[in-house]
Amino acid sequence: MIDQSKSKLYALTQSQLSLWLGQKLHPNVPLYNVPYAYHIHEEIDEGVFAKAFSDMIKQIDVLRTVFIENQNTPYQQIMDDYDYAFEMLDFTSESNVFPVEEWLQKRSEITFDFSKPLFDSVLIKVDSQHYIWFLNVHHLITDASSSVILFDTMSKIYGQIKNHKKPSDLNELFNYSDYVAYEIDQAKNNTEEKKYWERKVDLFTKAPSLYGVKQPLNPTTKSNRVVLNLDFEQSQKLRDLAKQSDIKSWTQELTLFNIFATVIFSYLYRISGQNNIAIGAPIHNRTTNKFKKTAGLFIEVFPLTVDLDEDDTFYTLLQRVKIESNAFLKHAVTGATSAKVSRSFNVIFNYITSSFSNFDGLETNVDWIHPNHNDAAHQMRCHIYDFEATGKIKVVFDLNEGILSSLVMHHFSNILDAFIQDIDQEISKPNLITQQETDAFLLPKLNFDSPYSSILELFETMVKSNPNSVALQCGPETLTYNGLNKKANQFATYLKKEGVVSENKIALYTYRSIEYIVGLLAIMKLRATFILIAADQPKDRVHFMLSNSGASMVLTELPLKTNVLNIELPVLDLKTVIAESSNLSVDNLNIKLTANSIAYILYTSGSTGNPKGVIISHSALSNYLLWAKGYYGIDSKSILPLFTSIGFDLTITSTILPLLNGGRLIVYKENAFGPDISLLQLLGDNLVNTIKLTPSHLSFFKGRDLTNSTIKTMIVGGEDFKVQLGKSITTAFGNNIRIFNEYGPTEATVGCIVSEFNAALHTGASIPIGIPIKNMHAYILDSHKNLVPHGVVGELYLSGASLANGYLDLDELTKAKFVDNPFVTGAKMYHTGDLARINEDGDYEYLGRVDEQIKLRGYRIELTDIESNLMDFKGIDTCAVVLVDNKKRTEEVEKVINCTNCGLPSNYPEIDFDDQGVCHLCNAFKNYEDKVQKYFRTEAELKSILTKNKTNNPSYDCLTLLSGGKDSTYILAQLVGMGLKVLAFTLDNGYISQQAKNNINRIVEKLGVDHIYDSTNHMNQIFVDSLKRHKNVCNGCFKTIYTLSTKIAMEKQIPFIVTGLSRGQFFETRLTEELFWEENLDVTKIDDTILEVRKLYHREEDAVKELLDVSLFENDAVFDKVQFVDFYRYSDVSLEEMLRYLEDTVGWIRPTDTGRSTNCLINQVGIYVHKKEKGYSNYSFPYSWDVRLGHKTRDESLEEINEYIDETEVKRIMNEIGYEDSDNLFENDEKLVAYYTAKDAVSTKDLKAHLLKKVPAYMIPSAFKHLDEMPLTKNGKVDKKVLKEIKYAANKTNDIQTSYVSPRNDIEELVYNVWRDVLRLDKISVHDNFIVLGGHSLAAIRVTSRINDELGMEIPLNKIFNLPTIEAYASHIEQRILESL
Amino acid sequence: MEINDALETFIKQEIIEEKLDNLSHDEDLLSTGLIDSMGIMRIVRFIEKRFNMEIPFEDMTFDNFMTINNMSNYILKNSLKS
Repeated sequence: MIDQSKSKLYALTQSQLSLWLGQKLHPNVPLYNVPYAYHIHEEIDEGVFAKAFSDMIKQIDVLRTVFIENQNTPYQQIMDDYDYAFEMLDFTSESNVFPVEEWLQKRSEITFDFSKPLFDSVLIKVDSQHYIWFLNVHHLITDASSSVILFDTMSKIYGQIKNHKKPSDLNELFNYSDYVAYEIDQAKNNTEEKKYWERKVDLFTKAPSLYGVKQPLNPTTKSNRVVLNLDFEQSQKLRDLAKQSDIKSWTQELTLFNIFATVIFSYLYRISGQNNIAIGAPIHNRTTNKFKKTAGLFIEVFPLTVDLDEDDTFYTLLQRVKIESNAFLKHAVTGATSAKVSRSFNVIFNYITSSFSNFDGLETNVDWIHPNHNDAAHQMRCHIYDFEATGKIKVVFDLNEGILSSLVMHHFSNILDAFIQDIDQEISKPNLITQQETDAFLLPKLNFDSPYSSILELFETMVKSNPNSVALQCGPETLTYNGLNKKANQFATYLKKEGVVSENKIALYTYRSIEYIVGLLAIMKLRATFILIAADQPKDRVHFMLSNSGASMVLTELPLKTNVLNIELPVLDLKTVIAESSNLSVDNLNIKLTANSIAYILYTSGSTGNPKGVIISHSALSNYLLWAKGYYGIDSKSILPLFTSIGFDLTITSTILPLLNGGRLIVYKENAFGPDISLLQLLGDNLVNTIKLTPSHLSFFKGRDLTNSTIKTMIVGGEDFKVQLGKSITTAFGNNIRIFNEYGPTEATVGCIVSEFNAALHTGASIPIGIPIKNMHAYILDSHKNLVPHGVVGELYLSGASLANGYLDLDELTKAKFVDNPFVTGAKMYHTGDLARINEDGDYEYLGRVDEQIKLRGYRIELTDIESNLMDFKGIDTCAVVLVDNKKRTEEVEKVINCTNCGLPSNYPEIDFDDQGVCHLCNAFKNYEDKVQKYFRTEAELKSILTKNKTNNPSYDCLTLLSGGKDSTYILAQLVGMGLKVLAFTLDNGYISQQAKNNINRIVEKLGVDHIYDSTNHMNQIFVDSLKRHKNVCNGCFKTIYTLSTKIAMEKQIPFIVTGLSRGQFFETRLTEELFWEENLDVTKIDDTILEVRKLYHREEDAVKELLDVSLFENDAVFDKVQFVDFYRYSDVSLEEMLRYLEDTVGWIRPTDTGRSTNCLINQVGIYVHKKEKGYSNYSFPYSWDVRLGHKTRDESLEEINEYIDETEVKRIMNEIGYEDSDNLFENDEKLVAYYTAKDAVSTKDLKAHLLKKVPAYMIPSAFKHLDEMPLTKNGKVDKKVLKEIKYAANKTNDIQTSYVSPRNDIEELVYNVWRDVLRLDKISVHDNFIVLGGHSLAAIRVTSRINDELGMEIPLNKIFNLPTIEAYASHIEQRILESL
Repeated sequence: MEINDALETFIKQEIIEEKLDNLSHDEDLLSTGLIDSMGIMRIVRFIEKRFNMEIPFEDMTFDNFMTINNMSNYILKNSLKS
């Protein structure tokens, strides 16, 4: 042990501890240096200065403090004196090689030796009238105010010595060690506040991603500083604003703090897209006059948090920040921070007002040097210097490397300017970015004026230059360029004869075939438009497309022809036309295509259920194809397969591209029936060298050996392409392949953003989509159509030559999706509905659909975010996450049925019915029914128990609980009938009906018994707690009754309390199945267990324990002195008999003013909440036991359970007691479900554990389902619609958010399984606390009995409360086993 | 005047310490910089504890806390309410 008083060893404050931790994480890095250069522009007496400095060390204890570690705990030790060799440097001579600024910077970056005081100081003479006092102090012993204190002290002492004043009488000595003692003391008192902060931090786990820069595994401490000096006018405007009465906070300082916090929050929102943000802000903690003059580290940093809304204006946000900063200040008490709290945010906001004066009256400028390093946890630190003296506010950002520091100040200053200009504008509105960044989006310029090159002419040129090259191949059949062109010309001539003219729309409803290509070319040659309809489209959809498009003719094939028999259009068979046109002219038709000619109409799925036709002009088509030809290097050696659906715009590439440069197209025809095996065929044929396909197709290649494949170029498009998949494919092809990722919606013609996969460069989850193709712009815009900075997520808009003309006959939709381009006059831009950002390499990244962004319980979640993280799990091939509205489904699918025997509803947890509709509880009961009967006794026995010591009782023989209902009234009458002296006890919980009270008053008078109405003014809090804890009000009420009545019984020395619990309620509160498992039932043992449970029950942490005096239960004696007797354990009276007796003898009248069969008005609130949160009434279970035990019929039970609940009254009472109904929060029982394909199913536990490492808990899917195959849409994309329809069994999950540890050995596994069963939870960590998980005394019985049963042990009941984790409990079992060996 | 005195004592002893002998109940404690926001929050916590009330964050305004009189008016008004 260290004797602290003797050796002056002190513990560290909370703030010091967190800095200590930060420094330990990065030893030998000057991340906490606080270096200042004080430029004094007059002559300094060097000798006096040195003397003053040594005097200052004597006076200020932090300058004599060293830090030591003892058994991993850091301590600070204050030395009595410290002989510091003060250094002086002369920079006046030329001998110094460095300029002084360089020297200062270098010296600022030294690291300190913790066994010596943590400062470094030098006096530099620059010239006779310019000295620099350099003082570098470690943050562990200083802060902003402390720097000023050190400066002032030095200045004062220097003055004193210089003017020969006596140094002794000038300075009071204030020691940091006093604060350390104070802080440690406060920290002890402020544990509640500490918990408050830790809880708050848990809720804000995700730090905003600044400019999309991810926190690397080993974050850098290297940091850059940028400075913004506000001019006087700006500063003054802010100060004026701070005086406005609706903006003003307590002090001007606090108001400006709020103003800058608002600007920072707005700025962070804009550069992260995150709408709940926490920033760290220090509080000064110098609460006394003495501390205000003490040097040292006083500040503590706490998170200031706010939720932002897209509609927020600066003003509305500021109003909320005002309230938040009050909450912040209220809870930010001394000693309440911790390393966890102060390292939980990545942005620090520091508002500094303490300023420096002149040094002993000599003109002084202060320069705070940046040591080029900062705590890695705090990527961005924003310091606002508000010195009244200059009138100008200064903004300083220290930015860890990775954040483009040059842009931060521009963006921040744009937001600040907007704030100053118009506080009522929306925070999402002002433009953020610089011209340079804008140019990145707008260059190169779109060239709409370039002469149009006709792809048809290009094809015809190829025919001339390569007449005998094979253009088309399908199985054994081939066609040369010349042959193909001739056939196409004949076909076109035929169509012309049939009356087809330019701009006619001709539908191609066909399989992939040579005839299809001939037809397509023919249509182009007529300057007509082709409408592509894939063969596998449903008939109705085909008819819709034909009528919607205004097609004038259908070209098709035989089996498909039957689908278009009854339409009014001419239907021509492709083969017939070719055959019949073989004598027609083979010459080119020479009808010129123009830029504006419509090339094709392609239907894509629409949100209305009908497909929408996208109109593509020849200029758009040629812009894409000509670019693709060059970019992919398509030439006469290129061989591409046509194997994907012709109705998919991705297929356009394969269909036309090879024919533009003398290459070859191999057609793989689909089967009329059965699956399309073209991909297998083309791999088997091994003929093509370039292929266009989707990532879903690629999954098929994984793990195959394709090193001998002829494929050398892959163009992948249509959906998000994962890096992992790219890597596997590269491997499968023996690294001898080029893979391109092409992005583009149909509305922008096939592909308009492209990248080439690079395994070394692409390290994220998805391959970036790259950069826009020639003549195309891709803008990333926020909701106000502002361009966003690099790294920031926004919506992708496309503009340029590839853009479609719009949607056919859907003018409104066209107007909505193709909007005016604000950056290029006269151009349109297409709103893709895709989310994207530009990454650090300048590549665009696709981040999913806007509608993939879902909101779950208020959290905005990107499904792709979860998916890409799940993909990182080894062994998972594909995955998709969907949001399932479970509630809607269960309502639809499951109709609640009730056990045919006891009436227990089918939504009772874990219930199981047999063929007869009898529940498993009833069936199990048959096996121990006899034993249960043994537990019940006779009225004679009751009488003998209660009267045994009758003569010795000082006041009453028993106390009975009288609620005024039939059961308790009956008991009272019976007890009186036995000749007992009874005290009746009623808890007035505030909600007993008037008629019930009348009953009570009348009856006690009639029976001549003494009666007590007891109450507590904490009742409402107890109700609220009970509703939260148990989803009913009765538990809280019962416990209050037991507590208060026991107290009275103790006072009056009454030996028995008689309860009116029904037999069914025994099974709700006292008995469990497990108690009757033993072969030879020992009822005494059950009674002992019940007594144990009763002890635990009174010691459980809840509102009753907190609010009422429960000290009498601390001593076991109370349980001997006052015994509980359940009347109905001894009485088997039937309901009719009871009611008859009550009516005839007692005069009890059934209350009608509750509108129900109860005498308590609040009871229905409990039923309402229970039904709402658990789906069934809290009476379902005890009543089912009443039925099982023959005390109620099933019908009576169901009638009571289904009684009407007056919701208006329920809401009124909820409001009255202060219970917040969870209406808005959890009404929707929506759940995330992840589907995945993998060789084998992976355990949910492992997947959850994996994801928990990557995403916040609210993003963890509730269920993970293994699929053999991922359902795909026709276009090869994952079909999420199908996934949502998959019947998904509701999975119970818990919301426990502690880090998850699965059981690690057999014993833990055993305990784990029992807990899971009993607590009905899906996932429990071995560190989870039994009580926190909802384990109550009854659950304790069940858990203990089961474990004892399995292991043949006798572990006492209370162990589970002493050892409340699986880990602790299992190790206790282990110990016992070892001892028994 | 019990409230005023309690506030004055607390402020004198705990917040501004011995800085002032006479603390007028109409003295503007905030604009003068006599008490900073941390200090005023300590007063809030004191009031809540001493007068057994909870002050909503919305009520923590300049007007309610500018002077000792303002504070005691606020306390009176709001403790009556509950």
